[in-house]
Amino acid sequence: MHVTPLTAFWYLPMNVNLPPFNNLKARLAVNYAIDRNAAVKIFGGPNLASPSCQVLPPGFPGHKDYCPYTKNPGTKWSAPDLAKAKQLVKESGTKGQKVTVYSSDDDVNKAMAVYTQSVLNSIGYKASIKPISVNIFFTYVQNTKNKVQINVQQWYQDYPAASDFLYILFGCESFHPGSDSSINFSGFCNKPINAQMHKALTLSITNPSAANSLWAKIDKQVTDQAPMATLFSPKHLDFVSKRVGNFVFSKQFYWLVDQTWVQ
Amino acid sequence: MSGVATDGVVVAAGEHVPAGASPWALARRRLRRNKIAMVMAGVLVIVVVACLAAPLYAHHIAHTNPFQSNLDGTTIVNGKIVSVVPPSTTGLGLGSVPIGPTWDPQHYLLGADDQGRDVAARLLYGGRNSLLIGTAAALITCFFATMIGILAGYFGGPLDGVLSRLLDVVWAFPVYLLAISLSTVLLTRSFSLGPLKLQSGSLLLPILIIGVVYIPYVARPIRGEVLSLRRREFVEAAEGLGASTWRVLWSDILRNVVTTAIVFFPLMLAIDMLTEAALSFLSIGVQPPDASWGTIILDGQGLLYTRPTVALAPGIAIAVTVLALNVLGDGVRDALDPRAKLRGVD
Amino acid sequence: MLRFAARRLVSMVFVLFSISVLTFLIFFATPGVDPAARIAGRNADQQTLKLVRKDFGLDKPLPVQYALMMKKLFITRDLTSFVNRGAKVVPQVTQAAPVTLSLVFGAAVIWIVMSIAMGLLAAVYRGTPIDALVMIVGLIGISMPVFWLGEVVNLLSQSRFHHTIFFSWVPPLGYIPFTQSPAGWFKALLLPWLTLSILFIGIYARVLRSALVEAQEEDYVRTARAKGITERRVMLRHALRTSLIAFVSLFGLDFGALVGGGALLTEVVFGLHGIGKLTFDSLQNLDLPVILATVIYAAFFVVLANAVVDLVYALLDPRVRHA
Repeated sequence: MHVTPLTAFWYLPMNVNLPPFNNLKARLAVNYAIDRNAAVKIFGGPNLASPSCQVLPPGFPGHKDYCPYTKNPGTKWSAPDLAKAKQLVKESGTKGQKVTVYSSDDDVNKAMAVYTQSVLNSIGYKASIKPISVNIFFTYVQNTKNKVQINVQQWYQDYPAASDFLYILFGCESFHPGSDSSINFSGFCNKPINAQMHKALTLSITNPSAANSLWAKIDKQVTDQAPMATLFSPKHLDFVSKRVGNFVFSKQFYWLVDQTWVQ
Repeated sequence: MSGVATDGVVVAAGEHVPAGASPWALARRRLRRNKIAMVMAGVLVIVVVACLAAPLYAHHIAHTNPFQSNLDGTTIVNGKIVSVVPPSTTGLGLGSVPIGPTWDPQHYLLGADDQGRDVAARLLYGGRNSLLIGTAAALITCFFATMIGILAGYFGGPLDGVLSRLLDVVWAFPVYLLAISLSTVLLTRSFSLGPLKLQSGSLLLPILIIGVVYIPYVARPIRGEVLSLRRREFVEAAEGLGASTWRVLWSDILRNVVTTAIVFFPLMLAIDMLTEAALSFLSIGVQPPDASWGTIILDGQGLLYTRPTVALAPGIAIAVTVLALNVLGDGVRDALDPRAKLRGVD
Repeated sequence: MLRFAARRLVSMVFVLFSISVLTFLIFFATPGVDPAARIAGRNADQQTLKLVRKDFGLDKPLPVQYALMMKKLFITRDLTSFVNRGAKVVPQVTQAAPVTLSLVFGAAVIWIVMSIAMGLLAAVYRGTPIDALVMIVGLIGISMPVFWLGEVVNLLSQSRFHHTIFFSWVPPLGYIPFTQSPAGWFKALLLPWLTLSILFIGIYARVLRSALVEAQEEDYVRTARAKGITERRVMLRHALRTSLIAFVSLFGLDFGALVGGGALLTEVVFGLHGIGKLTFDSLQNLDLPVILATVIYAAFFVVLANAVVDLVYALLDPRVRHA
């Protein structure tokens, strides 16, 4: 059995242009309240996923462990802080508002949505879920006309660069209001952070390691602004027999079968 | 002596009828003497009472909130503290499996579902919704079908033409398809009808949809009965005597048609509960966090081979309730018209 | 007679037309239906979306779109799905139809045979415990949700008792085409047949029983008995024949509904990709072309069955023709 951490993450993008999540405290509250262990359990247990608070997945160029949304803030997540979450909701003045959690309607995503709804209810919101057929979910939640406040999303790398996660998902240029194609689900557009992303993009051509440090800083800033609540980073399982040798894993193409031999 | 007495009392051969008994009192007597129907009525009462007592069970006995996920929670089984959703021990050791029935009312009597919630408590709460939706939908169906049936059957002409065409179109749309289409569409947006604004999670949506979809099923027989009643002597006599339309409708037509509607009611209740379960199973009936017996069966589908209780319990609940309703419905029909038992009016 | 048939035909067309318009309207007023983004692909830019919209005629007024779709569905038969880009709708329907037909025909055979047997049994032994037992069994069949019964059957045959002699022959859930393996086709369908038929056996046994019991009081039966014909012959030849009229008309209506996709719950639970499942999936995906096709398909059979049953009644009873 080969277990390889994937360059991917599961997260809950929150629409920063709609109440209640246009309020930073509300978004922070969700981050503190989510029990990432429960999310991992729904996904299949600690063998299949590791909890995460930030955007970039582990092992990714530019990744530096960072997790402020836990009982002992620091580098790794340990436990949710429900008391702090409830406090933040009260302070934000959004308590009691209605929230609808959207998700794709397959089993795992739906279970995540049900769990998220339960968490939102426990910190003071009135939450409901709306599972949507997997065939139309992806475009549906991108369109601002559908007024999606929060949904259950996954992002798997398209190419091995931090920009694939940070710039594509949280850059101003990825936000197209009123269109079915607006991959910046949360509608997040922060001018200073965006400028830094542009800088990192140009820097990655000439000085990749400097660019990576910059991306790590951007990762931290975006996480602090919390346009999303990251759940975990999945792992990939490959079940092979003992006779298989030279198992090579690529983060883009997964198991490179043509590099393997069988006895 | 058997036949229809002039006051509308139907009597079976050899049945003793006390003089002056009203048809309703007679029906009640017959029903009470039908032992099996009475037993089934008792079963229904138990089911309804148990479901209404759901909050009592959840708060005072099980000490659980069946609408809150409890994935990381713990409970006590055989004196030991165990995790409600422990990691799986079979196969590759991947994933987690909720605990099964403990048969301890205070700690997850029927086990937990995939979110770590108490199945027994959810079953009772779910029963409330299932019964509520079934009853309300059946009331809507019977009420409107009676009205439409009477209007179409009594007034005839263009009114009948329009109403019958409408019933045909609605009925030709296969019942489940129509219910599914309406649910799918109305669930993606809220529905406004005058002062009534229905959010997507409202229970009124399945109630209205199921209620409306079955109207043709009941309206047609009632229309048929009104058509035949119209030609009966006592109606012609009343009209000949100059009685106003409303009086004829009320005292002659309606009184006779009402028994048909009453006979249909338990039958429609049973059908509506089954339809609600099907819609909820397809995720287009009751929406989370609300529960109904159909949604719990859906919850149990993913756990079918590992924790079958989650799927079995609500199904058994539905089967028992619907069976009781069917038997009681038969009893009601027999009580109101004992000759129907022989005539085989179904 | 011909006039009656012609009138029914006209009303059939009218009903089908209204249903197609109704379906079109119901689904067109829904958000999230805009198929342009899905057809264009992930992360498409606004230019591409505009082009796609023009290509597929999605920017034209509603009645024009309706007419276009109807033309593509019936005349040129090249209507494509909104969700599975390029997948033609009509072949999807024609591929799913044999699955549903196999399921429904098999179940129908079982339920007709069983319900006639049970109804006869109950009527002959009327009033005895056998009668009560048969009726209770039938009632239980009606009272279980069919999808739940299917799940229970799966639990027993695929999981709990799969290794025993009772169920080791059960293949994994799904449909095996007859042309691929007749034995496999049969084995895969046997349990779905039984599950689907249990619901109907209860209803039909009851209907038959009451019709038989009523027929027994009729004069012609008493005459036959007085003539000295045995009870069994009386039942089978005389009473059964007339009782079957109600039975057959009811069967016609139910069968029509099932062929059109009414068995969708059974198909979903047993993983059979028939018309019912196709209809349900298309409804979930808001795939308008497929929805239109499947709903019209289903309504067609329901309306056809209604018309056939009415026609048969008209043949037997001239009074009905003028109703």
